Amino acid sequence: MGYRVLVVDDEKTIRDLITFRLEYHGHEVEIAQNGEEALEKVKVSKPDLMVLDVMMPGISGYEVCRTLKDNPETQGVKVVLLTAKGGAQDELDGKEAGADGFMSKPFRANFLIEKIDELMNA
Amino acid sequence: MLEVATMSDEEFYRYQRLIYDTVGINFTDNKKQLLVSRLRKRLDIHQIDSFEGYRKFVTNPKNEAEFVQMVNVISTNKTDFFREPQHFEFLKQNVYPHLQNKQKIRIWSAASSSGEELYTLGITLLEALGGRKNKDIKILGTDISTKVLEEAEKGVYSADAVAPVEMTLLKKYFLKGQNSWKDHYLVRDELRDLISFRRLNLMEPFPLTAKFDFIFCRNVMIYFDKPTREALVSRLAGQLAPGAYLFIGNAESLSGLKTTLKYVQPAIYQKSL
Repeated sequence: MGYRVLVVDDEKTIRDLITFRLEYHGHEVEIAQNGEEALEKVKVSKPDLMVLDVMMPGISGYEVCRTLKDNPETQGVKVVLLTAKGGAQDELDGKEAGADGFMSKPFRANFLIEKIDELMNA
Repeated sequence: MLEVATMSDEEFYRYQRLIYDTVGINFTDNKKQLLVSRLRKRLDIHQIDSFEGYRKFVTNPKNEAEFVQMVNVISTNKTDFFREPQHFEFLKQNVYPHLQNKQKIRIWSAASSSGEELYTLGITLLEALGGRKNKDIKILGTDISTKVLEEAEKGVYSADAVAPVEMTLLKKYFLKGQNSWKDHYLVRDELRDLISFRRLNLMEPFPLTAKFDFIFCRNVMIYFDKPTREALVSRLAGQLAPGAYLFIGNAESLSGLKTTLKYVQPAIYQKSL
């Protein structure tokens, strides 16, 4: 079944590719181009899950994640962080920020789809 | 409103020289308007009101990123899936059967633009081999324009763009977009996995060690003058394995050029064994 997913990345190509795949698999997608926009949108649209890039200008993915998880109203939103290649440190920082899952770039879209199903069924 | 900038003939010659020296594209006198209209977008973006001002800006080593953008707008090259189909027919008849027996396959699309040619090569190869068969296959796509390389790498095409692709192949090698991606198609991973991308200026020495089973370099040389073409063909020949083929555009020819490559049929040449 489809989930409501907010995709947050400053790179259009990545947003487009993730959106294409998620919609293909029946999910409903909303996008945000940066952390500020993500925090705005999450309040209104209350998604099931957020696919969140770590490295963005302005508010970083970690900060968005932390803000989300600190707020009782939004802490139920699952967060998959997109980290840089081989970013073991990124993953530690992400866990600390409360992220539920990680994908290190570049990743195969199928793995993201699987990860989403796994988190939503947990 | 900003006054629309015009380009004096003198200024045009300076651009001609600059573009020829750096990227090898020869903007002949009859292409002045084309150059002007393409560059205007860049002037607008930077709010520069003269072509002279833009030239000084773009040649400043500090503004190398803008130089890349300039190349992006002046080098745009249209391409289609299955463009010049007789080349793919030739591959099917004369080249792919030999690749059946090879473990390592190397193919180069030297001016791959937005990727249609690359993916057409991937599709036709996989169809001929009956799948990847655990072979070590690399199809390299290069272009001078980072903009088109990004598009190629993304691999999303409109329904119009994929119209030349047969329905069975379209289903096999593409995902059909839904909702916001309705009427768009995305190349599947099995196809994308064969392909790598790299920015490359055909005027500079090739940073490539591979010898290729064939090279596509179509509809590029029309922009180059004879000495440039001759030098390019000789360097392309250097990257071909013995007996391998070079494909150029149907509107192009190597006749009159000094080359070691042997004519096979229009727009197809072969390196000796």
